[in-house]
Amino acid sequence: MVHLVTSDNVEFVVEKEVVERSVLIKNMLEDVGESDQSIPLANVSSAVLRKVIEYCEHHRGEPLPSGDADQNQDETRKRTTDISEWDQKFITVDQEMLFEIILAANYLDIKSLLDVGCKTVANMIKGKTPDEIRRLFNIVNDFTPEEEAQIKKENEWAEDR
Amino acid sequence: MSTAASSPMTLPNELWLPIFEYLPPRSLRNVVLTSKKFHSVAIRLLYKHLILTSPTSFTTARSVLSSIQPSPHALLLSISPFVRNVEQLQEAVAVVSFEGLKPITVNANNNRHSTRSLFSEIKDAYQPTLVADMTLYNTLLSQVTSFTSLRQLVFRGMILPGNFHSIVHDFPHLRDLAVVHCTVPFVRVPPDIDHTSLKIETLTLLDIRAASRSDDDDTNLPRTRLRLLAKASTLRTLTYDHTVWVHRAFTSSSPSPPLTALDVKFPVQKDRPRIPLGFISFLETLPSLRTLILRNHVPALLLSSSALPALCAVSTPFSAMTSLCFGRSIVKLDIRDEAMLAPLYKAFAEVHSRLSRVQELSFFVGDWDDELMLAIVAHFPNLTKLQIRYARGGPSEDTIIGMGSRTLYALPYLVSVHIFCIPLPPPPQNFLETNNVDDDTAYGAPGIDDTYFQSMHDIDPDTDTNLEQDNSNGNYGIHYRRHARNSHNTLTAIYQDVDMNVDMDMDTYIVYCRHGIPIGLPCQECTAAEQQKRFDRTINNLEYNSDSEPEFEEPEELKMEPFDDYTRELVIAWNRACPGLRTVQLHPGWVWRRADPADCWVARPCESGIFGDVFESPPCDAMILADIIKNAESDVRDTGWISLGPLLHPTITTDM
Repeated sequence: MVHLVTSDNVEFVVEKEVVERSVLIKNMLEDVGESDQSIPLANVSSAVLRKVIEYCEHHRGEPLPSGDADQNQDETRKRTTDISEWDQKFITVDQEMLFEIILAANYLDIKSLLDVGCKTVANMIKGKTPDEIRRLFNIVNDFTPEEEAQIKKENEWAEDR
Repeated sequence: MSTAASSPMTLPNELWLPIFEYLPPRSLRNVVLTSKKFHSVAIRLLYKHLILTSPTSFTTARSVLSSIQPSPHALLLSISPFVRNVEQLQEAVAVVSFEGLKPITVNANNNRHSTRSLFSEIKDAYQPTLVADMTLYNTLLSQVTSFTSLRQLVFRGMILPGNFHSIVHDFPHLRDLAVVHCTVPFVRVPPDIDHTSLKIETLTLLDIRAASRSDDDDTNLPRTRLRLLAKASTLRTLTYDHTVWVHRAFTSSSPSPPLTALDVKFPVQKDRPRIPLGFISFLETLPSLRTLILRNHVPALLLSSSALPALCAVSTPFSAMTSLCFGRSIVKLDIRDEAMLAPLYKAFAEVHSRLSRVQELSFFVGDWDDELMLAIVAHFPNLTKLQIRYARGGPSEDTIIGMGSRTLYALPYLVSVHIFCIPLPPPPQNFLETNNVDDDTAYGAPGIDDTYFQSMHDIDPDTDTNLEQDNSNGNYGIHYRRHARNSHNTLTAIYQDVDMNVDMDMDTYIVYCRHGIPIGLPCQECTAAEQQKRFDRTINNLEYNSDSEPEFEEPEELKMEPFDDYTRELVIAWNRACPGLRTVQLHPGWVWRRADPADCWVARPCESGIFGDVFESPPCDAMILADIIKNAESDVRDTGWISLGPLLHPTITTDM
């Protein structure tokens, strides 16, 4: 069992097999060896870690993507935004939690969870106008009208089929 | 998912990048327009996959193109120079130069109405309206050849450059080359270029037209010279159609590359039952081929049983099914055209011993027959995915209720079941345009692993419709095209393989909603209540729920779950018999799914995958595949062929 302590000082006790889906923790355990000492996760809150552990529990035992294959696949990797049923249900959370999960998955180095989060955000962006995207993520338009017109013109081709 | 507009939280730039990587060009363009921050993150991604289909957008993008780093990885090119007397350019209205547009004066001798358009009044979707002047065109070509990091290159709907055969050698990283709907110009002295050194892994040649009439088999002629691209020694996936017959590039003295996937589109005419010259002997030289797709009309193939030893995924018309299954261990089987029941049962029985390993099966029968399920249980014990489409009849209520305990229980590995009625299209009105329903599905063979590449081939619904009309009878499209573009692709998919029988009164089998969408398909304009009604009417096809009026107190809810508890109970009952069941589809357009055993069944709209579902997922189970390969290798040795072991293994890992 591995002890994890979150930013809000909550301790989680998790099976090694589950928590090792995080490459960060896996490497840590390999370096330090097993001990009863708890691992502090200063960047992750208890609410987020609970979700992350739920994800790792469900996907336990699945093969971890190896770094090598990943590099290789990157070019030809299927750029599909399909998300499996369970993952889709899992990731149906509000935007703040979604971003927190992405940040945590990135920090803890859980590639498959990061992918699910990124795909979900990508699906939110798809089919939206620039204005709708700004509203979605609370973004301020810092282009001058001239700049905006210029960028629109330059990238006209992306509308072509 | 809440939009959380009030959320002040955002992500660091390095995490926006992997998100934007999932976006298609159109969405990326909208992202770069939102703010300076997003512009700086997304602009390089946008230019990674470049689409140049109009000379005017090339002129506006040109300044950016030369500065952008890294240079594009994928390019879809569709810009032609102005050449008179080329059929594909007859619709051109203006020549674009760096100075602007210049209208083309119509030459009286220039016959603007080709024979085809006289008969069908159908515009060829790939006739460009804007063409480039020579200065612009040459600038474009030199720009394109500077994109040395290109991995994917698609020429679509254009006249190929005169120096095409040397251009393709300018891209050292090119892996994926496609030439579709293109005219090959006449070149007086054809270049003598050896394509065996090309590093392409995927080649697609479809709808190749000649600028002048040419004899099919003269390899010195420009159109047939395209075949030589297939000599690339690294080629694994090959797609071509009857306009090029690529297999003729290979003879016994010039062997073919070790292909793993082959997709061949035959002509639609039923009155040409001949196998194209050299096709069988070509198949017999493909010991590592695992996936074979044969589209349109294919006669029975007289293959020797030692041919295609590694074949495990087959998608073919019924006529070629037995000859392909015989002697091989098939894992995926898809019968593309309408199968008659009696011959189907006979064929299953004939190749019975070869079917026990089939995991994924899909086919289409005109008439439903309850015996079908028994036949499937008897012949396909290891099935994980089953898809049956039928046009008439349908399982009775009793059959459906009993299906779980009587038949499905005998298929312990079953994960998904799709059994649904697809209404046949209404009868064609013009006899000139009948009987040719072209199988014009995606231009990629399985193995083309990049959805971006596929999306390059995705054509705008409007032009796509024209294309459909061009190839086949477009009349059935008229009812819905104006109202529901989104449904169009689904419909095309539904009809692509259906043999249209002119004598049949097909109106009997199709019901339209008031927006002209055939019942059973999602309509953009129908309200949820109307959708409910329509689905219930389709349910009538299954002969249950026919008396009760649909209930819809909560229209919002119904949008998500258009089916009643009855169907849910049914699905749950099936699940009891088949614990692994995760997907059940009883209607086109809607599917029941559950995520895991603790989860409940939810109905969702399904946009795609009505056809070809079998070929979308990774080819086959690793274990079984390894087995097959092992057998294939020993077979190869037995028959005295050279073992291609070292070549087989790397391709397995990449394709999985």
